[in-house]
Amino acid sequence: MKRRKYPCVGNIKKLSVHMPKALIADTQENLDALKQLTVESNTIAEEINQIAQKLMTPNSSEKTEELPVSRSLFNNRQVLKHLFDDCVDVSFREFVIGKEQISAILIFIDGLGSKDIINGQIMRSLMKIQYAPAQAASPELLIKLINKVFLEAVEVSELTTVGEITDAVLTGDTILLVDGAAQALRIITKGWRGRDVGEPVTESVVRGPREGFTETIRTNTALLRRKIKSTELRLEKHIVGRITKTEINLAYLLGTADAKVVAEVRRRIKRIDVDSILESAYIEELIEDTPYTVFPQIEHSERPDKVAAAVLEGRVAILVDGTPFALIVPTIMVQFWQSSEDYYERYPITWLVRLIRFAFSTIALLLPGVYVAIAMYHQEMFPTALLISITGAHEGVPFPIYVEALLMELTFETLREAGVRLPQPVGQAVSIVGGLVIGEAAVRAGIISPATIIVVALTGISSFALPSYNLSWSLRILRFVFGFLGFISGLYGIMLGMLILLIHIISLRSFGVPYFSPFAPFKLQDMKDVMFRLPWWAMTERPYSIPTNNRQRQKFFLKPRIPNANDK
Amino acid sequence: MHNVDELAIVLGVGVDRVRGTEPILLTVQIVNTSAKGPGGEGGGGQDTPFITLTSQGKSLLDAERNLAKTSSRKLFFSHNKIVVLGKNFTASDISEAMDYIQRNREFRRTNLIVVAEQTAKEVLETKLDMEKLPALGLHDMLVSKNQPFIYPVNINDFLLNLKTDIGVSYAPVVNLQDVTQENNVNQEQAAGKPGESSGAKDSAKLHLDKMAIFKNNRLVGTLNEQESIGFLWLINKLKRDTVVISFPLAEEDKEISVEIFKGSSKIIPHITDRGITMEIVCTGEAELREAGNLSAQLKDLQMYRQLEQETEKLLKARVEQTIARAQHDLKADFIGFGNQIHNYNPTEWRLVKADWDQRFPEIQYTITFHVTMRKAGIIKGSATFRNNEE
Repeated sequence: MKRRKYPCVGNIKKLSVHMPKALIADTQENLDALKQLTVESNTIAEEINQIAQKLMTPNSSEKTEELPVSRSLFNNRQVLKHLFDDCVDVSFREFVIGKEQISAILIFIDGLGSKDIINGQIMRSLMKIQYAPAQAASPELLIKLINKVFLEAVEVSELTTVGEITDAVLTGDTILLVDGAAQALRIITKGWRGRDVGEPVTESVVRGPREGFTETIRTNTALLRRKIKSTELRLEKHIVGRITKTEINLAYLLGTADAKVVAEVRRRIKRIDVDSILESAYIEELIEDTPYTVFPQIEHSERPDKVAAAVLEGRVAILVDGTPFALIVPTIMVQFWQSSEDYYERYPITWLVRLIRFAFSTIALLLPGVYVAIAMYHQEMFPTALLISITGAHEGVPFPIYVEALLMELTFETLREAGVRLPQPVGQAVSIVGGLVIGEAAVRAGIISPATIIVVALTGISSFALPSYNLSWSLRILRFVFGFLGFISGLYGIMLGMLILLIHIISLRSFGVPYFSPFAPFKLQDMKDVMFRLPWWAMTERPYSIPTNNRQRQKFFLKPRIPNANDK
Repeated sequence: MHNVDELAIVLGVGVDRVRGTEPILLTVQIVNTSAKGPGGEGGGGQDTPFITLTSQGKSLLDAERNLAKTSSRKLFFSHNKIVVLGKNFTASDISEAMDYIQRNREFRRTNLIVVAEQTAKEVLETKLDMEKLPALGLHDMLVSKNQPFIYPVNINDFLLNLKTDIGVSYAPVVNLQDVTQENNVNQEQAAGKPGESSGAKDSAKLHLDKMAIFKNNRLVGTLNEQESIGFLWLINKLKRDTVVISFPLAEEDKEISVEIFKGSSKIIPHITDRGITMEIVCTGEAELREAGNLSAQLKDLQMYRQLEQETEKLLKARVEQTIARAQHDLKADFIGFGNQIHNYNPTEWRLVKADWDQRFPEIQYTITFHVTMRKAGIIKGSATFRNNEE
């Protein structure tokens, strides 16, 4: 049987006739070893075949990810090479460790990993390794030694599956594979060129911190941690996005944030199963309470101080890797009228500033509609002198006032849109052409009446008086609706529209919190920080609109006073 | 739905009565919006800022409809400011016009009502020196605090007064002065000016100095200046009053002027077995405006007391004159005696209201004035009279 299976062995036996006895015994021993090797290589070959077949089949990725790290370096290398096929940025650095010449591979992505760490620390420490031969007996021991003793790296962990290896490599970490060990070492070497912490462009302030979030989530969490130096600040990691594998961190203050809200945020994040998350807006739309509305139900900010303030009020912040914009939940509508500077300037200033914001957002929403309604239906509501002015100005204008207003508003929106996207030198040309040519020439040519231009211009300016860009967009969309309502049915239509709008706003929720709170439901305690802001010494409690387990945030009676004799 | 340029903005409405089958003459003053955009340039300089249109009809609505026949735009009454009633119209029953105005939803109840001494048409065609739109100017004149003799009455007040048991109402009178005397002289000049609308009277000026009294829906008489101001005292609507005193202590040609601010009055009815007596209590604060030759004596506070008494005497005489006119001449209780009884004692009023017209002329009354001179001593002696003193 054996002879048939191994025909060459038979030939060797024949050779033995001409050999000395001792040599025969020696050869026999070698032969057995060779047999053993052949058997092993056959099994390995079969294993490789199986893996190769798995990889050929279409939905192989899942299975490959579950694949354990093999003891054979060659095997692992083949698998990973196959996975990173045609990925020029993935480097496989092959080398040997110590006198025993044990093969090892470092895998990392060129550009994602920090070259300083990989060259200066990892390679150097691995090349220098000297160990006693006894320790080499077990590659597992060797890898433990490398982890605990030899490697000069801060953060190292052991991985056991191919999927973990690929994930680690793709996030910019370096993987060390050693022949004979069924574990891979993950060395954190993330370090790529990112934007520096700069002034937040969308939320600049006159007074207040000038740092803004960047596209790197670790930088962002660091910025947040620097504001809140407390163990209670929890940062919870989630990976979302099948392909992009975007890291998402939930930031909340344990004990202050309501556990139910945190659990709900977690549940909604976990529910997300999409292939990509490129911006926090993806998350926003996937977790918001009412998808069919123009109103933003989740506030976003790129200011660490604003996010920190929200977290300190018991909210949950959702930081997303790859974008400087963090989400804040639950959100109530009045937040969109508040700016972080309201809290950095002295409180009486805030009273006027917020009054202006509320007043002008009403103008931004309603002025064209009301103007059209009054000018077309209720001319008696204009003061006499104004009506005479408007009528005189409209003399000879070919369009009805609604068409005029619509034309001008569309022009305004086009100018704004053109100005936003264009490079600055071209943008200036657009504003000159738009402002002068369209504004001035249209009036002079008698196509548009000056009153309409004033109304549209005032509305346009008003919509920029809001600190939040996304609510100002909602108002802008609704403005067209109200303009049309004013045109078809006058103030009656506007009132009807307002009623429907209010009903809609009141019906909205953000993570269970009524959107229009603290107006509806009315919360008197929260009025301290809505239309105006009380001084800091009077804002003893966290907002009642936001669920929290820790209502009081500071001592009572902090009002500054002149010291008297009774004071110590 | 109307575009603004489809409207003819009416600022003033005048109603006259003429002879013929169509007795109502309606005059409207319309803003000539095509002539001027107040902010914008352009528009013919030749065009007048306002247009007056007239039409006749069997009734006011009929006249308004006839007006629409010739108008390219819809007449828009919501911005109307004044309603002028021509004298010949007020001489007979005005109720149909008032009813029309009351029922027309475009008219505001805050429109001021004035009675024209001449015809309403003439008043509305008169240009004002300082205002482009005469109706607005007339409105401003009526509500101005600088008009001491009249009290502006809007349609609402006018109708409410007519509706009381007494049925007496009042309205200011607008007087087109110098028309008759100077018209002939100025006619040539006016005709010679190019582009002037022939209707507009350049030479005439509107005067507001009297109040007209209505009773039973028709004009019964007009008060003169002195009576008007006494009337304003009585209805507690005094803006300010000026009294010129020929004071015994002053030299004969030096008059002393006192101006009264914050005048107020109260009429208290006393109903006893012997009959009804009215107690009229007037108070006012006064200020010396022209000291005449009193400068030397002004250091003495006693002099102010004398001045107060003298002022009170003059004011009292004036108010008495108004009451006498009401009781004996017009026999119309525009002073509000009846209303005061109604307010103080409704049950008694129910008994007397039937024959109030007969009783009113016999009502006894007492008048007390309390005038306080204020700001004495701010200027003790006039600079110009110092030499005489020394």
